[in-house]
Amino acid sequence: MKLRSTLTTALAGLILASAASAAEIMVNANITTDTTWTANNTYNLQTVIYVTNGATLTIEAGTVVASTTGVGGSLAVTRGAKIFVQGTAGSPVIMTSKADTNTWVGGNPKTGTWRQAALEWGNLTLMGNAYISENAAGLGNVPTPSPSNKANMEGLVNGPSTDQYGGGNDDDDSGTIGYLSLRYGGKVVAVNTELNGLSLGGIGRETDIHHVEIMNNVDDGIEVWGGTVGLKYFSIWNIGDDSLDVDQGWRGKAQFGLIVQGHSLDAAQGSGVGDNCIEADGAENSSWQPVTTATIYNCTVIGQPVSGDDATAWRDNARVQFRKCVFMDMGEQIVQFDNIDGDGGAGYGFEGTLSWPATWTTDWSNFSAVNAPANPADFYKAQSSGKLAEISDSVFFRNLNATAYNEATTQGVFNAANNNVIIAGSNPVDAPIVSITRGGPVMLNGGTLTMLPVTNLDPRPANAALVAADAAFGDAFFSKTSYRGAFAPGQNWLCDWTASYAFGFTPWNTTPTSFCVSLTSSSGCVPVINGTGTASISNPAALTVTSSQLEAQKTGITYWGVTGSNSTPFFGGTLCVAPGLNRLPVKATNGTTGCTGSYSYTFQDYLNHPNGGLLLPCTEVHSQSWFRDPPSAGTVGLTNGLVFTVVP
Amino acid sequence: MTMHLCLLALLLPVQSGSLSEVRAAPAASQATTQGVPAAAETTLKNAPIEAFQVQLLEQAFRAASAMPLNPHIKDRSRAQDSTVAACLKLKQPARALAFVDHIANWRKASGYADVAYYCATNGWAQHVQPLLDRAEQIVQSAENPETGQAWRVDRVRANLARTYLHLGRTQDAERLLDGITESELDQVYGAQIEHLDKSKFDEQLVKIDAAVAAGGFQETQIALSMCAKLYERFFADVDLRARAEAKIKSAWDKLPTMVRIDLLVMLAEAALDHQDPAAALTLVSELEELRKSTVWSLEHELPLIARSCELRFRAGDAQAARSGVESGMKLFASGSSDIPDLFQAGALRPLAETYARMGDRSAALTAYRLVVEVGAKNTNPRPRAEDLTATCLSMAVHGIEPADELKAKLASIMDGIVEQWASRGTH
Repeated sequence: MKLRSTLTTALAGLILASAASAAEIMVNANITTDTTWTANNTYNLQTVIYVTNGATLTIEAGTVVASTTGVGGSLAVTRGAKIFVQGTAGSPVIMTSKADTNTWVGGNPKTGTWRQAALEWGNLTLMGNAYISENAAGLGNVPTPSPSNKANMEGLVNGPSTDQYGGGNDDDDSGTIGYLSLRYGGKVVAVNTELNGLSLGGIGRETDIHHVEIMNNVDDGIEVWGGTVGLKYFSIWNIGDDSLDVDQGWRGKAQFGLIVQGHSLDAAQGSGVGDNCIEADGAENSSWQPVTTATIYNCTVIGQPVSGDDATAWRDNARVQFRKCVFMDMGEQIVQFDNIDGDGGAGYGFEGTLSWPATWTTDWSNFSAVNAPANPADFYKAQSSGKLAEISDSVFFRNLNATAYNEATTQGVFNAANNNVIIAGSNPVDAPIVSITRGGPVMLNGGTLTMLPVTNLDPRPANAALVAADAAFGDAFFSKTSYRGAFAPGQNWLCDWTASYAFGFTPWNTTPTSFCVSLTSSSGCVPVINGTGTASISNPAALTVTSSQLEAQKTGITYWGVTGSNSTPFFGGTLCVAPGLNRLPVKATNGTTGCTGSYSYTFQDYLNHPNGGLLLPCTEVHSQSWFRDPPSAGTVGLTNGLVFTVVP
Repeated sequence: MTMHLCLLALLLPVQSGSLSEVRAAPAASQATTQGVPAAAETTLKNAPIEAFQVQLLEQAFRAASAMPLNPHIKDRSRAQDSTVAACLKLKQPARALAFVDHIANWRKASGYADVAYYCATNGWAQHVQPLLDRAEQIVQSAENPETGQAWRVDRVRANLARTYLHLGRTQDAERLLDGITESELDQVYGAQIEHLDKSKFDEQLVKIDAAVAAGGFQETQIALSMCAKLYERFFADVDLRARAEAKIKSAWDKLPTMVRIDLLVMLAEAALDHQDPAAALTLVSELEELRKSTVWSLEHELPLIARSCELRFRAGDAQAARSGVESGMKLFASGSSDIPDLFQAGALRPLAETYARMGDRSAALTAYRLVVEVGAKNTNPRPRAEDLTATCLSMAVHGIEPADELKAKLASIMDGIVEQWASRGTH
């Protein structure tokens, strides 16, 4: 049984009831006073809606913003205004089109069908007051960081009073976004341009953004221009241009990102078919400051092996560190030296800035003196070690283009000190993720582009991604991780709130399932561990974990872990649970003679453990039982293993 | 050793002797300073200030606290934190502490750290450690794996380290400084140079030469900033002062406008602090030329105008200072429509403050009336509350008592804010 269907069943009544009674609010006017959108309504954007005049828009958990397909409704938060998207793991905020919600079964947002579509509504744009670099004509900007430097937001056409971003406050606060799913967007009203899924212009570091998904967008997935905002837990699928695009001096941090390259429309590359997975532009113009100087940890980047472009494309002095990432199935290069962005930038080395090769060999602390700000350390806080441009402690798999590693090799990415691993061959059993399934070829753009869409993905780490070289680094933004890629062993943060989960691309098995092997006991029995029910946080009595065929009149325990399975020798048998074991209370096996012993726990016992806080929804839990068996060679008995997944 | 500790070692060698001096230095001035304890006093006490200043501080805190925690916890805490800073400027540590207790996010740790530093530097030694401990405890639990933001924690840790350095507890300071962002360390550097021994000047200059010669921008910028601080520290010694100034000017061409402005302000303030108005005026003229050579938006230019006018006034050029502020007021009058209403008060307030610093209470009051008026233009309670907080604090710190009609206006805005949020049921 899949969690998706379980929840569908469990929630259907509630959802149907709420869907039937939900009022549709047609949003036609700008939001100029504080406003709260509530989950008992749906909101339909009829044009570009600005949150302006210092107003605050609060969107409650579970709220659906579904705009009429093709009209071009969109949401833009202007400088000084704020947005609070208060989604939760079980109750996300969804911004999408009516065409999408029409596929939801009974109005349940955790269902739906993926369609080849985009441009059905606009996007979410945030504009803030942090420093940017922009040299477009007519703005009067200067090359040195200045609070007066501004930029016009791509795709917005109302005019400077609402459409400009940039300022002098890198600590600026545009609000908080949590558990937000953006789908099928990109449409601009009245002009022939496109919108990114989530546009962030001049956003300051006190803005909090975590758990954001972009599914199907005609232009970039997330684009960040300047500012210092950080991103944590982001998923970007089937984007029509670059999945993640940073520019104009972004100086933030990002961790836990999933990029799955694909397509949203039958169109040219860049207008419906994925281009680069990550595009890093430094500054406009190239010698201006601030220049993009960022650090990205723990990204899983999955490309398109036939017609996809590059994993990373570099332009105009961009400096980005990628660490503990997974790059697989790229169509072209891991590192693509574009040098310029095509918008008039002059590239690396311009006006005395660092050359392209020097950017890869220069320490992070060597800030550019060309057009420098007053205190560069104030501007460039994202990097704290290593080189300005770096890909390290990462794993590469099945990047089969003949030139895939050329530029990366030239720039020293595979020098031993970088601790990078290229997995040889292309056998799926060696993959750095648990599993990936692609659909058949989809021919696009008149047959010139071939997409192999990802239809099923378990992005948790496997093989070379299970262990990172540097497990020690962490700070108040970057969580410590001992693995490579966006997902910890046994955990899948996509579960229960994303479109990829609703569409069945990232399903999650909740039925308790046996695995591993038992150690035959001294009485010749095969002890087993079984589970019945579901591990529900809200109803922890619903799961019973029973160990049986144990030696009678002994004592034993069950231990559990959330870091995956194991198969290492243990007391003459097999340890089935990966390190990080948590022991439940000792139990008597009871029984009479031989192997008639047994004992049980409920999920409540797991939650009562001091580490019960690890048991978050969508966490996969591995368990095994151990009991005393003095006559046996190892003096203990071991059951096989049991794996189940926690639900809300 | 991390980079910032290397820099600390390079530029500011910490020596036990100088730290002893640091500890001893405030004591001499304490006896003559209001609001600092007599030897036997153990209860933290506020210095006497005017009743209207107390009212303004409390009104500012009420305005900040009127913002509902959901969703405005960050906005509310930021504004509350600003009231703590104002209290400390007015030597009101007990009031500051009472305000800190109400802050609901990481800024509570920042507030305790600020009060701790205040206590450490104002003779309330017995209060320091408990406050440092409280701040550190909060900051340790402030990490949020979903939304964690390093700079918030780093800022508090640097603040705590500043106090430990002041107390001569370098190991505690280094523990806190290890791994944090270099840019949060300005306060640490500043606190150290103030107590550099004269015998170390040449040694310091040699190290600054080396840092500049190395060519790294950050090293150069910090080195020249240190030069400006040396200029101030040894202003009375004509030779040392000249050498520090010459060192700055020799690297002048490498630096952009904003750095030069900052350095010129530092030098001008040092000259004024040492009663050399002629030197200050020369420096102010230079920075005004620099300002005019760059394009600014009005909302950012007005504070710069206010800054140079204040320096000019302090240097004795009252006429030009007044003329400059009046020009700023006119610029605002003619150009305010280009500034979104929620940013207008922030642009104008520095001009009112400059009037206040010039001693023209009447003009200051007039300007503050306008600040309050434009701050209330916006119809949303959050920006109104932020502006009300900032304006009340500004008037309190600058000693400008609002006339009755302005008091009534402030109270009316406050009532409106409370009513707006109460009517939405979000409080």
